[in-house]
Amino acid sequence: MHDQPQGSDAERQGATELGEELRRACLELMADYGVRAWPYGDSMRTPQRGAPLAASAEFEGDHLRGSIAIFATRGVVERTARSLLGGECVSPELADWTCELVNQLLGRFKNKLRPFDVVVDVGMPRLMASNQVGQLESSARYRFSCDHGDFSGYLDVTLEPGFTFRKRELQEPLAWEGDVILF
Amino acid sequence: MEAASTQKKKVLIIDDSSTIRRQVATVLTGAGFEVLEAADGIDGADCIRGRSDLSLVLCDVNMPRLNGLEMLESVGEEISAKSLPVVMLTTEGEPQAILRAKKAGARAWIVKPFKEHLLVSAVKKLTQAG
Repeated sequence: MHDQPQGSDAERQGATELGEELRRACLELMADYGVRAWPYGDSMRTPQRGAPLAASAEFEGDHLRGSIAIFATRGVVERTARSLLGGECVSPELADWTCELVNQLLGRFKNKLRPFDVVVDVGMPRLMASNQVGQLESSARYRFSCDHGDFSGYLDVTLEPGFTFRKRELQEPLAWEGDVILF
Repeated sequence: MEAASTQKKKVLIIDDSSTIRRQVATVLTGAGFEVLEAADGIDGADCIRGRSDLSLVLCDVNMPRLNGLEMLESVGEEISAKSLPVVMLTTEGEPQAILRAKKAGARAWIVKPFKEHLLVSAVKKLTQAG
Protein backbone atom coordinates (compact mmCIF):
# COMPACT_ATOMS: atom_id res chain seq x y z
CA MET A 1 0.00 0.00 0.00
CA HIS A 2 1.59 3.29 -1.01
CA ASP A 3 0.79 6.75 -2.26
CA GLN A 4 1.03 7.51 -5.98
CA PRO A 5 4.03 9.60 -7.05
CA GLN A 6 3.31 12.98 -8.68
CA GLY A 7 4.83 14.56 -11.84
CA SER A 8 5.28 13.69 -15.55
CA ASP A 9 4.82 10.16 -16.92
CA ALA A 10 8.61 9.57 -16.99
CA GLU A 11 8.99 10.89 -13.45
CA ARG A 12 6.09 8.79 -12.24
CA GLN A 13 7.53 5.69 -13.93
CA GLY A 14 10.93 6.36 -12.39
CA ALA A 15 9.52 7.06 -8.96
CA THR A 16 7.40 3.92 -9.16
CA GLU A 17 10.46 1.85 -10.12
CA LEU A 18 12.45 3.34 -7.24
CA GLY A 19 9.56 2.83 -4.85
CA GLU A 20 9.38 -0.85 -5.76
CA GLU A 21 13.10 -1.20 -5.01
CA LEU A 22 12.63 0.55 -1.66
CA ARG A 23 9.68 -1.72 -0.85
CA ARG A 24 11.84 -4.80 -1.51
CA ALA A 25 14.72 -3.33 0.48
CA CYS A 26 12.42 -2.75 3.48
CA LEU A 27 11.22 -6.35 3.48
CA GLU A 28 14.74 -7.76 3.02
CA LEU A 29 16.16 -5.61 5.80
CA MET A 30 13.51 -6.70 8.27
CA ALA A 31 13.86 -10.35 7.22
CA ASP A 32 17.58 -10.16 7.96
CA TYR A 33 16.68 -9.25 11.55
CA GLY A 34 14.08 -11.98 11.91
CA VAL A 35 10.99 -9.88 11.19
CA ARG A 36 8.51 -11.24 8.66
CA ALA A 37 6.32 -8.43 7.38
CA TRP A 38 3.37 -8.01 5.06
CA PRO A 39 1.63 -5.04 3.43
CA TYR A 40 -0.25 -2.91 5.93
CA GLY A 41 -3.94 -3.70 5.98
CA ASP A 42 -3.58 -7.43 5.31
CA SER A 43 -3.87 -8.18 9.01
CA MET A 44 -5.39 -6.66 12.12
CA ARG A 45 -2.48 -7.86 14.31
CA THR A 46 -0.63 -4.61 14.81
CA PRO A 47 0.17 -4.16 18.50
CA GLN A 48 1.20 -0.59 19.37
CA ARG A 49 3.10 0.50 22.47
CA GLY A 50 5.53 3.29 23.20
CA ALA A 51 6.43 6.23 20.98
CA PRO A 52 7.36 5.38 17.38
CA LEU A 53 10.86 6.07 16.07
CA ALA A 54 11.86 7.65 12.76
CA ALA A 55 15.14 8.37 10.98
CA SER A 56 16.03 9.63 7.53
CA ALA A 57 19.06 9.88 5.24
CA GLU A 58 19.70 11.75 2.00
CA PHE A 59 21.23 10.51 -1.25
CA GLU A 60 22.45 12.25 -4.39
CA GLY A 61 23.72 11.06 -7.77
CA ASP A 62 24.14 12.24 -11.35
CA HIS A 63 20.50 11.72 -12.25
CA LEU A 64 18.60 11.99 -9.02
CA ARG A 65 18.59 13.14 -5.44
CA GLY A 66 16.31 12.61 -2.52
CA SER A 67 15.91 10.98 0.84
CA ILE A 68 14.56 7.85 2.42
CA ALA A 69 13.17 7.40 5.90
CA ILE A 70 12.00 4.70 8.25
CA PHE A 71 9.11 5.21 10.62
CA ALA A 72 8.50 2.28 12.96
CA THR A 73 6.59 1.50 16.10
CA ARG A 74 8.84 0.84 19.08
CA GLY A 75 8.11 -2.90 19.10
CA VAL A 76 9.55 -3.31 15.59
CA VAL A 77 12.74 -1.45 16.47
CA GLU A 78 13.08 -3.41 19.71
CA ARG A 79 12.63 -6.73 17.92
CA THR A 80 15.30 -6.00 15.32
CA ALA A 81 17.69 -4.70 17.99
CA ARG A 82 17.12 -7.81 20.09
CA SER A 83 17.97 -9.92 17.06
CA LEU A 84 21.28 -8.06 16.88
CA LEU A 85 22.20 -7.74 20.55
CA GLY A 86 20.34 -10.54 22.25
CA GLY A 87 19.03 -8.58 25.24
CA GLU A 88 16.84 -5.61 26.05
CA CYS A 89 17.77 -2.14 24.72
CA VAL A 90 17.31 1.22 26.40
CA SER A 91 15.97 4.29 24.58
CA PRO A 92 19.30 5.85 23.49
CA GLU A 93 20.31 2.53 21.94
CA LEU A 94 16.99 2.28 20.11
CA ALA A 95 17.47 5.79 18.72
CA ASP A 96 20.97 4.90 17.55
CA TRP A 97 19.69 1.62 16.13
CA THR A 98 16.89 3.38 14.20
CA CYS A 99 19.57 5.51 12.51
CA GLU A 100 21.59 2.40 11.71
CA LEU A 101 18.47 0.75 10.26
CA VAL A 102 17.95 3.65 7.86
CA ASN A 103 21.66 3.55 7.05
CA GLN A 104 21.39 -0.14 6.16
CA LEU A 105 18.16 0.46 4.24
CA LEU A 106 19.88 3.16 2.20
CA GLY A 107 22.82 0.81 1.56
CA ARG A 108 20.45 -1.80 0.16
CA PHE A 109 18.57 0.79 -1.85
CA LYS A 110 21.85 2.09 -3.28
CA ASN A 111 22.85 -1.44 -4.32
CA LYS A 112 19.47 -1.91 -6.00
CA LEU A 113 20.02 1.24 -8.08
CA ARG A 114 23.30 -0.04 -9.59
CA PRO A 115 21.64 -2.32 -12.20
CA PHE A 116 20.02 0.89 -13.49
CA ASP A 117 23.52 2.36 -13.83
CA VAL A 118 22.72 4.85 -11.09
CA VAL A 119 25.41 5.59 -8.50
CA VAL A 120 24.55 7.75 -5.52
CA ASP A 121 26.46 9.19 -2.60
CA VAL A 122 24.74 8.74 0.71
CA GLY A 123 24.43 11.11 3.63
CA MET A 124 24.55 10.54 7.35
CA PRO A 125 21.37 9.16 8.93
CA ARG A 126 19.60 11.42 11.39
CA LEU A 127 16.95 10.72 13.96
CA MET A 128 13.69 12.57 13.42
CA ALA A 129 11.93 14.17 16.35
CA SER A 130 8.19 13.57 16.61
CA ASN A 131 7.49 17.13 15.43
CA GLN A 132 9.59 16.51 12.27
CA VAL A 133 7.69 13.44 11.12
CA GLY A 134 5.18 15.68 9.33
CA GLN A 135 7.98 16.45 6.84
CA LEU A 136 7.45 12.96 5.44
CA GLU A 137 3.89 13.68 4.29
CA SER A 138 5.02 14.66 0.79
CA SER A 139 7.00 11.43 0.36
CA ALA A 140 5.78 8.15 -1.13
CA ARG A 141 5.04 5.77 1.71
CA TYR A 142 5.44 1.98 1.74
CA ARG A 143 3.71 0.66 4.81
CA PHE A 144 4.01 -2.76 6.44
CA SER A 145 2.77 -4.71 9.42
CA CYS A 146 4.42 -7.49 11.39
CA ASP A 147 3.87 -9.33 14.64
CA HIS A 148 5.68 -6.59 16.54
CA GLY A 149 3.92 -3.51 15.13
CA ASP A 150 3.98 -1.40 11.97
CA PHE A 151 6.74 0.21 9.98
CA SER A 152 6.98 2.35 6.86
CA GLY A 153 9.64 3.20 4.34
CA TYR A 154 9.42 6.70 2.82
CA LEU A 155 10.93 7.85 -0.46
CA ASP A 156 11.25 11.43 -1.62
CA VAL A 157 13.07 11.65 -4.95
CA THR A 158 13.71 14.25 -7.65
CA LEU A 159 14.77 12.89 -11.03
CA GLU A 160 16.79 14.68 -13.69
CA PRO A 161 14.34 15.75 -16.45
CA GLY A 162 14.34 13.18 -19.24
CA PHE A 163 16.14 10.51 -17.25
CA THR A 164 14.57 7.08 -17.61
CA PHE A 165 15.32 3.92 -15.67
CA ARG A 166 16.60 1.02 -17.75
CA LYS A 167 18.29 -2.05 -16.33
CA ARG A 168 21.75 -2.75 -17.69
CA GLU A 169 24.21 -5.58 -17.19
CA LEU A 170 26.66 -4.74 -14.42
CA GLN A 171 30.25 -4.33 -15.61
CA GLU A 172 31.62 -5.16 -12.16
CA PRO A 173 29.94 -7.33 -9.52
CA LEU A 174 28.55 -5.61 -6.45
CA ALA A 175 29.20 -6.80 -2.92
CA TRP A 176 25.89 -7.77 -1.36
CA GLU A 177 24.68 -7.79 2.23
CA GLY A 178 26.54 -10.40 4.29
CA ASP A 179 29.39 -10.79 1.77
CA VAL A 180 32.93 -11.16 3.12
CA ILE A 181 35.65 -10.30 0.60
CA LEU A 182 39.24 -11.00 1.59
CA PHE A 183 41.87 -9.18 -0.51
CA MET B 1 43.82 -13.59 35.03
CA GLU B 2 45.93 -10.51 34.38
CA ALA B 3 48.43 -12.45 32.29
CA ALA B 4 45.65 -14.01 30.22
CA SER B 5 44.05 -10.60 29.71
CA THR B 6 47.25 -8.98 28.44
CA GLN B 7 47.67 -11.77 25.90
CA LYS B 8 44.35 -11.03 24.24
CA LYS B 9 44.66 -9.54 20.79
CA LYS B 10 43.21 -6.06 20.55
CA VAL B 11 40.71 -5.14 17.84
CA LEU B 12 39.65 -1.53 17.25
CA ILE B 13 36.10 -1.04 15.96
CA ILE B 14 35.46 2.36 14.34
CA ASP B 15 31.75 2.95 13.76
CA ASP B 16 29.46 5.87 14.54
CA SER B 17 26.70 3.47 15.55
CA SER B 18 27.03 2.52 19.22
CA THR B 19 24.73 -0.43 18.54
CA ILE B 20 27.06 -1.85 15.91
CA ARG B 21 30.07 -1.25 18.18
CA ARG B 22 28.27 -3.11 20.96
CA GLN B 23 27.39 -6.01 18.64
CA VAL B 24 30.96 -6.31 17.36
CA ALA B 25 32.38 -6.04 20.88
CA THR B 26 30.06 -8.77 22.15
CA VAL B 27 30.90 -11.11 19.28
CA LEU B 28 34.68 -10.59 19.35
CA THR B 29 34.97 -10.56 23.14
CA GLY B 30 33.20 -13.91 23.11
CA ALA B 31 35.78 -15.13 20.60
CA GLY B 32 38.66 -14.17 22.89
CA PHE B 33 39.58 -10.71 21.63
CA GLU B 34 39.79 -7.43 23.50
CA VAL B 35 37.81 -4.70 21.76
CA LEU B 36 38.52 -0.96 21.71
CA GLU B 37 36.03 1.52 20.24
CA ALA B 38 36.11 4.77 18.26
CA ALA B 39 33.05 6.67 17.01
CA ASP B 40 34.39 8.29 13.83
CA GLY B 41 37.37 8.43 11.48
CA ILE B 42 39.22 11.13 13.39
CA ASP B 43 39.10 9.30 16.72
CA GLY B 44 39.91 6.07 14.89
CA ALA B 45 42.97 7.54 13.17
CA ASP B 46 44.18 8.98 16.50
CA CYS B 47 43.87 5.56 18.09
CA ILE B 48 45.75 3.85 15.24
CA ARG B 49 48.56 6.42 15.40
CA GLY B 50 48.74 6.41 19.19
CA ARG B 51 48.76 2.69 19.91
CA SER B 52 51.26 0.02 19.02
CA ASP B 53 49.32 -2.93 20.43
CA LEU B 54 46.46 -3.22 17.93
CA SER B 55 46.08 -6.51 16.05
CA LEU B 56 43.29 -5.47 13.68
CA VAL B 57 40.97 -2.58 12.83
CA LEU B 58 37.33 -2.86 11.76
CA CYS B 59 36.12 0.33 10.11
CA ASP B 60 32.76 1.61 8.86
CA VAL B 61 32.68 3.82 5.73
CA ASN B 62 29.80 6.26 6.19
CA MET B 63 30.76 8.23 9.32
CA PRO B 64 30.72 11.88 10.41
CA ARG B 65 33.81 14.15 10.50
CA LEU B 66 36.05 11.73 8.54
CA ASN B 67 34.66 8.76 6.63
CA GLY B 68 36.26 5.35 6.72
CA LEU B 69 37.91 5.51 3.29
CA GLU B 70 39.40 8.93 4.03
CA MET B 71 40.63 7.66 7.39
CA LEU B 72 42.18 4.60 5.79
CA GLU B 73 44.04 6.76 3.29
CA SER B 74 45.19 9.12 6.05
CA VAL B 75 46.79 6.30 8.09
CA GLY B 76 48.16 4.34 5.13
CA GLU B 77 51.79 4.67 6.23
CA GLU B 78 51.04 3.65 9.82
CA ILE B 79 49.08 0.53 8.91
CA SER B 80 51.74 -0.46 6.40
CA ALA B 81 54.60 0.07 8.88
CA LYS B 82 52.76 -1.82 11.62
CA SER B 83 51.42 -4.53 9.24
CA LEU B 84 48.04 -3.74 10.79
CA PRO B 85 45.15 -5.41 8.95
CA VAL B 86 42.13 -3.16 8.33
CA VAL B 87 38.71 -4.63 7.53
CA MET B 88 35.99 -2.36 6.17
CA LEU B 89 32.58 -3.14 7.72
CA THR B 90 29.90 -1.21 5.86
CA THR B 91 26.56 -1.15 4.07
CA GLU B 92 28.42 -0.06 0.94
CA GLY B 93 28.79 -2.55 -1.94
CA GLU B 94 30.04 -0.28 -4.71
CA PRO B 95 33.00 -1.83 -6.63
CA GLN B 96 34.81 1.51 -6.91
CA ALA B 97 34.70 1.98 -3.14
CA ILE B 98 35.98 -1.55 -2.58
CA LEU B 99 38.83 -0.97 -5.04
CA ARG B 100 39.69 2.32 -3.30
CA ALA B 101 39.89 0.54 0.05
CA LYS B 102 42.03 -2.23 -1.39
CA LYS B 103 44.44 0.29 -2.91
CA ALA B 104 44.66 2.10 0.43
CA GLY B 105 45.72 -1.09 2.18
CA ALA B 106 42.49 -2.67 3.48
CA ARG B 107 42.65 -6.47 3.79
CA ALA B 108 38.93 -7.26 3.63
CA TRP B 109 35.47 -5.84 2.95
CA ILE B 110 32.36 -7.01 4.83
CA VAL B 111 28.86 -5.82 3.98
CA LYS B 112 26.37 -5.24 6.82
CA PRO B 113 24.37 -6.92 8.13
CA PHE B 114 27.11 -9.48 8.67
CA LYS B 115 27.05 -13.09 9.78
CA GLU B 116 28.76 -13.16 13.17
CA HIS B 117 30.65 -16.42 12.55
CA LEU B 118 32.01 -15.05 9.28
CA LEU B 119 33.23 -11.90 11.02
CA VAL B 120 35.00 -13.98 13.69
CA SER B 121 36.48 -16.24 11.04
CA ALA B 122 37.84 -13.28 9.04
CA VAL B 123 39.25 -11.59 12.16
CA LYS B 124 40.94 -14.81 13.30
CA LYS B 125 42.39 -15.41 9.87
CA LEU B 126 43.78 -11.90 9.56
CA THR B 127 45.21 -11.87 13.08
CA GLN B 128 46.38 -15.47 12.71
CA ALA B 129 44.69 -16.24 16.02
CA GLY B 130 42.70 -19.24 14.99
